[in-house]
Amino acid sequence: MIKYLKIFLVIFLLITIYPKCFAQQRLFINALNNLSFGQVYIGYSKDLPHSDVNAAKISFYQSFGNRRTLLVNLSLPSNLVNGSNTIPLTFDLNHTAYSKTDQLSGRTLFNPYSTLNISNVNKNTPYYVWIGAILGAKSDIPSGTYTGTIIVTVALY
Amino acid sequence: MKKLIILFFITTASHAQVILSPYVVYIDQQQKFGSYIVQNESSEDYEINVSFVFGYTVSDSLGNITLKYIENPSDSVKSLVKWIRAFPRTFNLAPKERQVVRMTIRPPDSISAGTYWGRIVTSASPKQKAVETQTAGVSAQIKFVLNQVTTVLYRKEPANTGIIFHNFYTKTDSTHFNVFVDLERKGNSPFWCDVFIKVLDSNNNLIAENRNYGPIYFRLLKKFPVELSKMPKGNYKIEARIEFNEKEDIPDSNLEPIPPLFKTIFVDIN
Repeated sequence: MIKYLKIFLVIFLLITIYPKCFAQQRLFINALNNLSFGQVYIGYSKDLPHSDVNAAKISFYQSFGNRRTLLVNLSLPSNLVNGSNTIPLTFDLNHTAYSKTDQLSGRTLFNPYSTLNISNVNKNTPYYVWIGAILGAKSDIPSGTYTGTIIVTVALY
Repeated sequence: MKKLIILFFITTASHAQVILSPYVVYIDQQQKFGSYIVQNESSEDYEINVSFVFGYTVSDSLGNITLKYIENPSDSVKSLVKWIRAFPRTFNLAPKERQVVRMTIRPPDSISAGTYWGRIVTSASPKQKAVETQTAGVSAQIKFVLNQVTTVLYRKEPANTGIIFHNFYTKTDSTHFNVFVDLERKGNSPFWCDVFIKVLDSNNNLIAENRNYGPIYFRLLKKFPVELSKMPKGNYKIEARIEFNEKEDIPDSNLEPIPPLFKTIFVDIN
């Protein structure tokens, strides 16, 4: 009997100490694929459409409840930088898309510089966002590593 | 069948990377601290940074909703950003690790009653080297940072809320029949609600229904589009019901329930 009481006490303490909400509401964000340009030669540009397997791919889903609205904002670099040298990176309406299914067909294009507003997002229903871009490696750039950051901000309300 | 369902959820969860819970942290006068969990479900190390910003949902004249962030909010808005602290603010999470982030709030005694809020921005960047593409002498590294914006609330009693149903109208564009609901909150606290829309034809047949949940912080114009192809020429009755539903996001809430609001309009489509 005392043994069972001890087990009960341990379980009770675990439940009390552990933040109670963990099993409740959650938003899942998954960066499934990074933006990868493959081989780019100096003096040439490379166009990576959202449909390319090397485009960035992110998925979202939530476990709250139905009829939520998902807001996605992208903060995109206009250049990749190496010291004072830069390579222009262009994002536009034709290179960013979202969809309820992980398929090529049925994607909706969106302006990457505006808030993507997806309403009536249901529980455990994934949404996908693809980000492509155009990288222009000018002929006068020196060799080296050029870096940039894409910030994806997601809010659900 | 049960096995299949379990397998589906395990598979879905195993793809997720950085998970937060809960989505709304509620703090009140009795208990001036709260917490949430950051969990790394990926196989990579992540660097996590926690910050706060004031923000609320706003809409334009077309019913497009965005989050408006204000870096230095004035004292006239109910921001708690100045008074809140998180511990830890920066940390690393190894794969499958989780960290409890605790928050304390120290508001001045002189603040007025009501609900104050802020946005928790949990920023996750992988510690793994970014994607590197070696080209003829040039390589490109693009790093991904994921920001999740959640909410923290502080309530000082007596808190109250309510809703003003300003306008209820429709507008038709080339593809959709759009129903607009213009709502403004009353009192000293945001109004969490479900908005239900029903479109009925002249024989009272249900043509379309829509439902949306969320808080009204100040004023919001919500749009409910219905495909025009579902609505041939004729007379339609459009019903709206606004139902207070704060408990869905804030189970600990003790705000007094408010009776639902109803409005009906009639529209001709020629």
